[in-house]
Amino acid sequence: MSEMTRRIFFGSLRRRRGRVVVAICAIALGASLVVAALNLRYGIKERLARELRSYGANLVLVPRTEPFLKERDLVILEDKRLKDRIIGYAPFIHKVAKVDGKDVVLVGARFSQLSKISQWWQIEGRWPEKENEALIGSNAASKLGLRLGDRFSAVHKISQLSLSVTGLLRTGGAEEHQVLVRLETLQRLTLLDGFLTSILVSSPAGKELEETVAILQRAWPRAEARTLLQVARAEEALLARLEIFLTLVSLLILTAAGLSVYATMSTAALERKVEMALMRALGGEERRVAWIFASEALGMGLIGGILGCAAGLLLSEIIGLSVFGSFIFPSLLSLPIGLALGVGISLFCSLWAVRRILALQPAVVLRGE
Amino acid sequence: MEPLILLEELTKNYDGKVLALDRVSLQVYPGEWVAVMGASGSGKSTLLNMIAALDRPTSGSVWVNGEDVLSLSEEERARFRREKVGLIFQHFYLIPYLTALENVMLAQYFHSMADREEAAQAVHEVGLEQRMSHYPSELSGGEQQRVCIARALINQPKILLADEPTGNLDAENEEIVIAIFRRLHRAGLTLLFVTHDPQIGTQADRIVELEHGRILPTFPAKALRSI
Repeated sequence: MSEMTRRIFFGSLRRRRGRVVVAICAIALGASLVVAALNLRYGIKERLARELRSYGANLVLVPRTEPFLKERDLVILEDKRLKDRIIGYAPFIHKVAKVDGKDVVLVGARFSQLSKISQWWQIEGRWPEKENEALIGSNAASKLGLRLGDRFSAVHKISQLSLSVTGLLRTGGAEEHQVLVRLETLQRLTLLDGFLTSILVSSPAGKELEETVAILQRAWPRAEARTLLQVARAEEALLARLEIFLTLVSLLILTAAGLSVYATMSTAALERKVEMALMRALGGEERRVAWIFASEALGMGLIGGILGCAAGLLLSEIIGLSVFGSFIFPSLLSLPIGLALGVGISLFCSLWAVRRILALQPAVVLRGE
Repeated sequence: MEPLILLEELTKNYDGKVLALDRVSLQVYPGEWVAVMGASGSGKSTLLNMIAALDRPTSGSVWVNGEDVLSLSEEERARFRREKVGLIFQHFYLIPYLTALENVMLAQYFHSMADREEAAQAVHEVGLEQRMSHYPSELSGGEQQRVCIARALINQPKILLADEPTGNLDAENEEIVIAIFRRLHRAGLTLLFVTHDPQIGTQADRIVELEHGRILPTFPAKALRSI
């Protein structure tokens, strides 16, 4: 940058401090809203996907060829490669038993793990804690005539188990017809210590889910991983709608911010039309004069863009904190996008206005005074 | 001798309604000082803008220093303005955030390369060596106009074109500015001024009077001086 270019650049910015601050604020405001919208678009989607996961599993692992899965193989699900892909899982063993002479499905589960992936279940009473406690589906309770606190016996072949009802379960699904007991209790009753019939897994939806299935298939060849299509598709549809909504909001914000910057920059350019006409009268070529004004717009765009990115990040974290009660992980892509938008909008709006003024003959402008 | 400025049948019609110039023909020779006079709206400034390639006529031709100004592209017109003509305006048009010296350097900047020493010499020649680092708002009208003269001369133009150069000056400053023009004329520079001011008119070699966009019969300035 030559001495003269520097003098024009800084002299002009210093003299028009007020206008420059307004323009930078307009650019920063626009960039901050876009950065915040992009962060929320990414962050909310991820948060919502995780929230949705708490409403149920979307994957099930069942034995591929053998009748059971081995409990010790559960370590595969704890592998660090799957850490971000598995939000929670719950192993099960299912067996039919007789209660009061009637067939009923007994389900052995680890309640501490099950409760994490089935937070939407409605339980009247509480989760079982001891070995002889059971959670009974509402339909099963009606069928067996059992109420909260009742005791009953379950018989499997020659083994018998005495249980008390700690909770009545409503899920709207198959669980309402089942009796849930501790995994170890049922394994002992059925002489299947160390064996499982299925594992429910909660994993992020969308493309990631398919990738998780593929990874699981490779890591655990004896198990077959299947997606629970109904759940997965409902989640995908909801997330897709959310994405469309957030994209539209981002576009709307971008348009509003662009108009605001355009108004500020074109007013600034109009104020300086005599300056531009004079520069041309002194022999300045249109391109060179335009570059002088563009470099100022570039400077303001850079400053506004950086400030906007910082403010946008802060704004998205405040929104994340107030909506989800935790910080949103910032999308790193939003920063270059915010900066490019700040500079791009500033340059575009400024050059658009400058072009219109440069289209006038210098004499027309200079005659105006 | 070849004329330095040659205008032929120059016409300027604004939006087909206002006829600012009506088939004006004029020749100005090297070293000549011509004053274009006339009432407001007679087309004086329009004529000057055509010669300076700041505006385009509706018809006719403009030749300056052997160059057909109308055939030039926008870039060539910019080159023509920075190399061939020096411009002085009634309203000065100095850049407010540049000092007196930097305003002169601005013309150098568009011509080739700003040279602080050369610009300082030009400011010195108009008697403003003590005011070089002052901003336009810190200068009187006369001082601002002298900065404009230095700016117009810095690239050694063939012709100095001035639009009402003393229009905004008091008598004292007017005298200082006219003295500078007299010196430039003696040095052989071609001057073409648009003015209302009979005093500046009488300094010229020749007066061209415009009325409703047409040139009245030309007469030498000494005829005016003798009235």
